[in-house]
Amino acid sequence: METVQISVTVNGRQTGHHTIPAGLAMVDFLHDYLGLTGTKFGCGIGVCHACVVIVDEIDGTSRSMRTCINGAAVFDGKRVRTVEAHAKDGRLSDVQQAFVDHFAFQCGYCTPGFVNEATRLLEDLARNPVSKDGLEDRIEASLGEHLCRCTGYVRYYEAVRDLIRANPKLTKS
Amino acid sequence: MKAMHFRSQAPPPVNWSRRRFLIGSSAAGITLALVPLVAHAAFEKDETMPAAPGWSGNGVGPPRYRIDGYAKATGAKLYARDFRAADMAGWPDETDHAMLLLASDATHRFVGMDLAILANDLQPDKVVTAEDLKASRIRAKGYFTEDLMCPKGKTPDYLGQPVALLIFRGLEKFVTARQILRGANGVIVFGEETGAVAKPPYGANRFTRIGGSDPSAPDVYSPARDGWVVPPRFRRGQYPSWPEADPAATRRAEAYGRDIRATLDNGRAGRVLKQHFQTQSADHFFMEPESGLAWHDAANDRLSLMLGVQSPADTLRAIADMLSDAESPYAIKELEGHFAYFGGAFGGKDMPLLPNYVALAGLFADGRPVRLALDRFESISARHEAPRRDDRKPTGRRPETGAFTAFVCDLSLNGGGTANYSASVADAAAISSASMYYVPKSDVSTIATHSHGVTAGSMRGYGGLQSITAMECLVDDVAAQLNMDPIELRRKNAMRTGYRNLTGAVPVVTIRSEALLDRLEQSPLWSRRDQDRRAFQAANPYKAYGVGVACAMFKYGTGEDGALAAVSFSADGRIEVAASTVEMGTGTSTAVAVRVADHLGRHADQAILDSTGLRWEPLGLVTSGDPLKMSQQDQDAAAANPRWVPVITSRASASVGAHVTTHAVAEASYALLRFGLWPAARAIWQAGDTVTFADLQWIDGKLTAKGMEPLSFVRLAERCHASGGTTGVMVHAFSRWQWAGAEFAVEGDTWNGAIDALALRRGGDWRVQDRRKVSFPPASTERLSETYAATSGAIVALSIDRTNGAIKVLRVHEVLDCGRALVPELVSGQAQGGIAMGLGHALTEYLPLYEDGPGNGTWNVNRYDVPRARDVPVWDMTLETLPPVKNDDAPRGIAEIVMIPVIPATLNAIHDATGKRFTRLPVTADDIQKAQ
Repeated sequence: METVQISVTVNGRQTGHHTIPAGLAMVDFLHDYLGLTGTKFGCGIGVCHACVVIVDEIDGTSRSMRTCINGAAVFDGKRVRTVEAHAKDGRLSDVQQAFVDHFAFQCGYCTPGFVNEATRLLEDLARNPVSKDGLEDRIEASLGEHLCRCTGYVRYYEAVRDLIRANPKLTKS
Repeated sequence: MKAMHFRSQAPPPVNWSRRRFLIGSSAAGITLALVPLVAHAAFEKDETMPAAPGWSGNGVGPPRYRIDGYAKATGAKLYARDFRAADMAGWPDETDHAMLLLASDATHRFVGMDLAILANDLQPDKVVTAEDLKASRIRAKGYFTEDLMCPKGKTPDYLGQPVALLIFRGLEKFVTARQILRGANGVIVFGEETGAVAKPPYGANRFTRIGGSDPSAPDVYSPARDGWVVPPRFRRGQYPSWPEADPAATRRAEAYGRDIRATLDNGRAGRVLKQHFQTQSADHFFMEPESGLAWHDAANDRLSLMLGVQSPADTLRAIADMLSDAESPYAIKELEGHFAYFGGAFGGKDMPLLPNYVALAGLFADGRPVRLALDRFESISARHEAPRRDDRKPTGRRPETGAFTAFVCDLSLNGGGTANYSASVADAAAISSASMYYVPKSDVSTIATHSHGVTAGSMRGYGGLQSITAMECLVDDVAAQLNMDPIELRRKNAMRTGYRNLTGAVPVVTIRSEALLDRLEQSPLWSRRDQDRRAFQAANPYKAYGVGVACAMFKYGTGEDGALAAVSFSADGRIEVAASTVEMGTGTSTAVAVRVADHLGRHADQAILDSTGLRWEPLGLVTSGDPLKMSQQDQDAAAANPRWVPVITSRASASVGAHVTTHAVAEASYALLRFGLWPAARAIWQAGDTVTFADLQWIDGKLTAKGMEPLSFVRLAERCHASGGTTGVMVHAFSRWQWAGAEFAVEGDTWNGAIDALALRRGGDWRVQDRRKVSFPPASTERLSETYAATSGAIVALSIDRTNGAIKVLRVHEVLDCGRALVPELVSGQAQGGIAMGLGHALTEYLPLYEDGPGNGTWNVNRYDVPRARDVPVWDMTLETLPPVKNDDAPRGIAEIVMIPVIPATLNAIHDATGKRFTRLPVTADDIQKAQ
């Protein structure tokens, strides 16, 4: 059995070295090595995006990555944020609170992926505001690959739109 | 290994202990114990999320957010898939892993397995086959009847039937071996071609009705009046042989049915329109693929399971049945179930097959905990929605009035390789096949057939989705033929309160079809459709614009619905509500907390969903017989025992959450007001007879009456506890299309409640109150069906690109009669999700039936097209709910009805845009191009 060693910083905690099977998916690593089950396994082929986490780059930017089609080895040396990282001191993040306030989810299984993707969108907009006219298109482009079977997407999208509109720094005329 | 995660805030923390409730013993004497899985002792204290205050807003009106909102938004460990052995109190820490090998061929003989592709260090530690099960005397029986695994030398009964269960010690070996096996050919070895296994149909019924002199008059003949009829035998193995009908009721159905069909054929029933309609095989695509965890504690002869299913009690019973003859070392004395939240279900986790294999994995893992978690390919092959064919000559109608005169329909459902709910789904399709319309004479036959396709079962819509879709398209075609407005034709033929439905039963709820149609007609999307069309097509010359309307009437409940509820308060006034159900995302846990406010002035502080835990023991309930089949004599005899009820708890299915589950909560809350708070208030007020119970009012969260001092809940609670008064009420309720009722004597007071069992808590002790009289719905009520009915309507506007046939849904407006909305945001959320799922059924979702379909293990969402946001008018979806007739109207189950009309409205919009009628689902761009 081929194995590899990795170390990853997850939610600010450096973890490793872990010796893992070379083909271990990151979502399984999070679940079974770190006990972080908030990241959800949905389709296993990178289509539904329930398993998305945020990877923070050294230059201060971040990107979302799917953890079901990317092996844990791909994340070696990286800094990763999962859904468990967003609430601080018992207080939900703005995105989480917006989803809760809007009754955005039902079963909630896709919620961690939406939380991560929407968080990254807001962080992007803080650097590069979107035009007010283009806001809905931008939301669709950012969240559009995330599957949800319960909600029809309406409340997720409205929650993100309201949150962005409430912060003048995220949009421009 | 310790988990790092937040503590769940919902359901609220409860005393985590070995809480059990004996739900009865199986034939083999296996004790069944169900344990709700909630916030867990294994959680690290410093990693828990503090309580989220204020979910209920001001405690009286709509809540601020879902009671489980924080837990889900923070990724708390809630779902069955989240748990490992280390999370389970008292289990060994390490988890083994199991996988199923599923047959991708059901027309050749299964010869055996070849695992040589796995290196020695990757070989499974245990391989379980049909031969092992046979040697251990383990077999499916009771609800499940098919072979659990295909034995060597036999052709698999159906695509996706397991041939072996492989157990691996340690995650590393499992992960690597599974990857190799998934991509390998020849692991399952097949021999000679035999063709598919043929078996008789799962069931058939005929619903023939000859109405009386008016829509409310007694029927001349109907299933409700004369009983349901089944065919005497099947010709060529698949087709009902009605002409040989016997006994008398069946013979009469055949005679009346033949006559109705003759009147359509010879023109006596008026002008006739015929239609053939075919709906597709579809997948539930719940987001969380099925999984489970099991541990065989051999020292105590106990098998413990952790599952996420809609049917906790019945799932456990089915496993007990499977193991009832098992021999050592697989014989057990106790079966313990822990039940988690689950990530979506839509009917797909109502009596699924997987828990049986989870149990087998646990038994064969040599005393080590084991996890069986399907991947998505396996999940899609495990169970899906059945395809249906619907041949109808609906509706002879009088051209001068447009009134429907007769309706004939023959429904066929391909039930796949296991019985599941196929026969029941076929019946539901038949009963709802006239949609929201009254027809004086009808003859509807239905059959659920066996095939070697993958397991087909229940899904949101439960047959009504298919048959109503066909009817609503036909009604539009009738309107076009008569040159009538589609809404006007619907209005002319709509069911109204007091009318008899297709079974001859009268819905016990108001049917506000006229108000529904009025709202649809007044919707700008409908009333301005011609202007919108002109404007759109002027701006988009290569696109066609179409608008379609459709309605639906569909049942909620099953006719055998049982619910438990307990409402209690502490001395400091905190209210706790417990209800016997599971949360699959619809918001039931929030709804039960809110329903308490009907009588206690504010929401509960805690909501606990507990299917059949020890908490219900004070009622001491017993049950026997089949609530759908028992005779009146048997029911009367059983009811003499004050602890007997026809069924203890229901599955979380058939849209029962709002109607059934919260009904019991409301009754318990009422009794707590009457027998707990009211005596306390009277004692405080010292008002004698000047104030009566009927005078009580909650104003701003305080109880008052006739100008008496407003009393806070805390003050009343303190008084109740201090005086040894009633501080908790536990009830059981049963519905067979009407609620059971019973009389209780409580402290000199007589109460007739819509319940059949009652216990009160005083001084910390629960005591059961014997019912003095009980009135269960007559056994014959089982025939009625659909007397609880919800209605809805939808308007869909879409465009079609004339160059490539591409369909774009632009706007959807839905009108819904949900009775009283307990939580309006949950209702509209259900509607939005239902609209999206409906659009998927109409336009994108499709599975081939056999060898090219999900049974070959290659289907996932790269091929199965679940609607994305771009397929849904996210920003242009609106909902209008009819205001309740009265403020205290009962809520109606709407989880299914919100989805159904969207499908025919979409098809009618396509017809409007193209002039083409499509009668196969889904309708794709290719279909449109070919038709042009």
